[in-house]
Amino acid sequence: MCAASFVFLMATIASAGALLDDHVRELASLRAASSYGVIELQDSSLESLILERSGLGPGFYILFFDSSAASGRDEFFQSEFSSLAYSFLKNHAGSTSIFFASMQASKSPPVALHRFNVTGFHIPCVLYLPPSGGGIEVLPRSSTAQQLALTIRSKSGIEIGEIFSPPLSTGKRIALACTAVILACLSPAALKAPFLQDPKIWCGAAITLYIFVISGGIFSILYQVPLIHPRSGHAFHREPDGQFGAEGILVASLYAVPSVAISVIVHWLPRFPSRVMPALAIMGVASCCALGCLSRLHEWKTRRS
Amino acid sequence: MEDRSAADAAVMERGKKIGSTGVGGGALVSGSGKRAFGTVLAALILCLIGIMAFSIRLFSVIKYESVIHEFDPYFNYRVTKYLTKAGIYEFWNWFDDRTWYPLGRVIGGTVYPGLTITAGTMWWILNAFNIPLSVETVCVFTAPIFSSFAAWATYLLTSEVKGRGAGLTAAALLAMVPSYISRSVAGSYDNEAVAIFALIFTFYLYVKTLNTGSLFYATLNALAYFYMVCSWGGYTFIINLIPMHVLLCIVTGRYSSRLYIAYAPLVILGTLLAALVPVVGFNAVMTSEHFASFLVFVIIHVAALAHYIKRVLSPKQYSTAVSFVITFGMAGAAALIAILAAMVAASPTKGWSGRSLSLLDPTYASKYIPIIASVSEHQPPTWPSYFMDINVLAFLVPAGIIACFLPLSDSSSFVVLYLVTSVYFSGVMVRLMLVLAPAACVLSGIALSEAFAVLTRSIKYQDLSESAAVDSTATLNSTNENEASVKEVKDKAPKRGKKKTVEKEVEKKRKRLLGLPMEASAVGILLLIIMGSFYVVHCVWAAAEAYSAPSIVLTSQTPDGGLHVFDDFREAYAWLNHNTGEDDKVASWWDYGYQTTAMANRTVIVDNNTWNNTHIATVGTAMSSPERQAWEIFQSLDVKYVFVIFGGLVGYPSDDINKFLWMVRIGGGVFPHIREPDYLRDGHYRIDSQATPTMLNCLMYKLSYYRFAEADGKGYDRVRRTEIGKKYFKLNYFEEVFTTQHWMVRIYKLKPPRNLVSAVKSKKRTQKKKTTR
Repeated sequence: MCAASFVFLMATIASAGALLDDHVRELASLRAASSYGVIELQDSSLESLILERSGLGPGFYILFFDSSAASGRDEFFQSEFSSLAYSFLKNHAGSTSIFFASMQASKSPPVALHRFNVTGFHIPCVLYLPPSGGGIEVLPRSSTAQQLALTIRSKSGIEIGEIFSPPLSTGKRIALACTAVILACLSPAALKAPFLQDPKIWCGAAITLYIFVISGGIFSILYQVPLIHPRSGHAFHREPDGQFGAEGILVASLYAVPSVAISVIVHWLPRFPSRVMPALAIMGVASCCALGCLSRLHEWKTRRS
Repeated sequence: MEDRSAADAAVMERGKKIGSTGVGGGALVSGSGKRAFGTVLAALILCLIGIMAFSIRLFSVIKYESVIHEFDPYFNYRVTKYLTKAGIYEFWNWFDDRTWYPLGRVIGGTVYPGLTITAGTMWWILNAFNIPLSVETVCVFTAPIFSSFAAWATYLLTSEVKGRGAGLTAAALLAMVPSYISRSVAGSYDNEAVAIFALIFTFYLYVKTLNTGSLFYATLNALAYFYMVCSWGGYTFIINLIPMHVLLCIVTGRYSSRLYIAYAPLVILGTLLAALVPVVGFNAVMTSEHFASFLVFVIIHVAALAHYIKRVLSPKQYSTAVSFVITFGMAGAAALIAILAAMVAASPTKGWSGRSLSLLDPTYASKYIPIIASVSEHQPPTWPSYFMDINVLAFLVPAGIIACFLPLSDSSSFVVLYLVTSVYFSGVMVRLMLVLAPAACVLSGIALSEAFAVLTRSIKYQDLSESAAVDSTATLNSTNENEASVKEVKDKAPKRGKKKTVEKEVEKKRKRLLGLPMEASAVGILLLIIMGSFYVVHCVWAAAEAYSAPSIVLTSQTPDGGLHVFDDFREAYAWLNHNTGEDDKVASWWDYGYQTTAMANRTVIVDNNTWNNTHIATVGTAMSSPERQAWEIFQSLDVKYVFVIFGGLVGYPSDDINKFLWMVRIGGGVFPHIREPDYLRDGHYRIDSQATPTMLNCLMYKLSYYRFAEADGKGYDRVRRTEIGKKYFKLNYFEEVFTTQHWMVRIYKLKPPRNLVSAVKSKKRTQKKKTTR
């Protein structure tokens, strides 16, 4: 099981909002010290603030478990969660009706995971706890901030309001500003660089990109296809809706041969009369072979004759 | 700037000359008579290309019948029918309560009206001339008609870039390119049918304005862009590609007043016009898709101002001004960009729509938006898709790119940029192969035309070339002799200059006349003709076999060579239309929503518009839930009938069981109690004996396989190629009311609560009896 972390979101809806007990005050102070209104929980704080206090009074607890080895999807989920917390804080300044907290799953005690009925499979996830401590629910993993807000509204009756993205952290801001300055300084010089002014570079880049794409390169990258079949070692995928990496490279080469041949024949060969015939013969044969190979390969994959 | 303009004009002129010697036959046209003949011949060829583009798309009507295809076209047809019946004002205000029950949908404000208004106008004109065609017939033939227009627009665009020969070749290629045929056969009444024409025509007018600097063409360009905005959401491609090209021109020092005229009116007029279309509205100025056009609008004004100041000031004053502007201007620009970036960053999706984000970050949809990822045409294509859809054009395009760089002009750089961006987008979404096809045709047309020009010229001027070679050698020799004879003369500099000039002229003449050997040229022409024939055969096959099936009517070959027709869909919709109440609500997966409202005229819960993810997730959850929970969900939505598409008996693979994983994923995205792992065994959806209990008890399984084992005796699913896991079961909350001839559509009615109570009681009674025994 992948190394996972555990993020725990707690929302508390205080009774009538009038009496702030110590517990709520403590959460409020932790939130004030947090970034974007998300309380970073540790083992001890999880135990003392949530596990021991569930059923304390009218309030809602929502737990969010985060993955430390975050993939793109997990990062998105986490950023949506931060947006939700930040938006609530912005729309309801000082409100103690909802608190947002996060925790890495690797740091959470097994008892907490067990108590909330969360396994590694669920992580990362958002848990929703009603005030009584019972009826824990796992909120959907692929939800956007808007969808999470709707779910919370339907369960607690609290409107999160308009969703805002949290501001960039100071470090990120500095990095962004530095990048912008460097780009601004370098771009005029870079644009005047001789190699960028050379049409041959642009022409070559355009053709390379074109051949890369039509040989299914983007498909291979997106689906992270292996070079060959991991078990059988086959380089060719029989179905037309799939391909292996080696297949893509071969097809790119086959596409390139007639493409280059036509270009050379039309644009360069007439300038070298002495070498025309052997070059023509070689390119003609190579192109016909490449076309034939591609055609047969296509027929084989699509099962058409 | 004037020098640049003159150079571009010369390049254009040269391109036209090269083009005119392309496919047409090779002669350098001289004299008004020959020019007139060439024009008439080109017009005749264009007419034939138009006829070919129209007729190659009629296989669907000849092989099947004049019928609207697939899913979205049914909605467009329904809207067009309403438009022709109720008029344009009613159309704009139309609130459709037959879809997305109980939410409904404001049709006038949520559709791109270009296609509908185009077809409605055609129908109105035909009726005004007493040609009483039905709305359906007009809709069926709209796409083939606009394919002819698209071919002609391709001719105009390519002619503007590389001359008439290349234009004719490109038009002929586009008329039958399979990628475009797939979306424009007769009956394929979808936005792309007219949008591709609008796209190419807008590009033509942009290039025309770029070459001429005419404000007239610039205005026409904005109007063409407006038509494109009315027709298809893909208009954002135009409003990003053109700014990219303008920026490229500015950065590479190709700014000119023609560029300004081509761009500035388009942004101003185009944006104002785009904002008039209800479905776009203020998005034309507020979303990130349009941001590039405004940024470049600012940049082009800065560039124009810099050029103006450079002309007015002396070089010294100009350099001082540049230092001043760089110091203060950069600070201002940085502040402006920071403000804009902050505003954009405040939006959770950075101001981009989900589909646009999928194009910029191809992994976006698959990670975050299952409803986009679930659509097969949003998947990245493999190489066979390219081979199938553009075929031999794939080899010709690189030669076209090189031709565009020899020499590079504003218009040829635009075509290359169009190709590069469209090929990337097509790599991300197979659907956008449609946008690549015109670019591939234009560049292939240029390549093919140049190849024919070189080969035919080689044959035609073979003798002349040889004599020229002799002449040039002689000239060189004589120059050398002259040089030797006057060696004693001390004034060497002028002689060197003379020699250089002569050498240059000789080289120029040689280059113009040099060609390939006659035999090689003849073989080359033959090979090109064979390749062209291969392309034609492939296109005709694609049009006749691969892309002509309407999907609403299916056929298969019988063992004796005959044709077996599967007309189950229309059979089911007709049954619903004739046997259910007018206000009854019908639930199905969203794929069939448009067809149900158009053909059965019944209210649906979700349809192909997919605007409300929660609503679709509700239906997905119902299909994934056990019978009782599903019944409760449907009951809460006031649903009377539920139907599923089942292919297990006849081997139809696009059935609901194969789409079931998306029902689970989309449903689970909103309702967390639906968990995908509950339906998976070893990571796969299975319906055989290894299937999970959740899978075997969900509504989709039950509605698909109810009484199935009775039908074939074994319960063998011909799509999944296995025997089903649970063969005999009863339905407690649904009753089967109709199953089509080939079991492809199975319609069930929700049992009313009264019967439900009886069912529960009887169940309890049975249990009691068992206990007593």
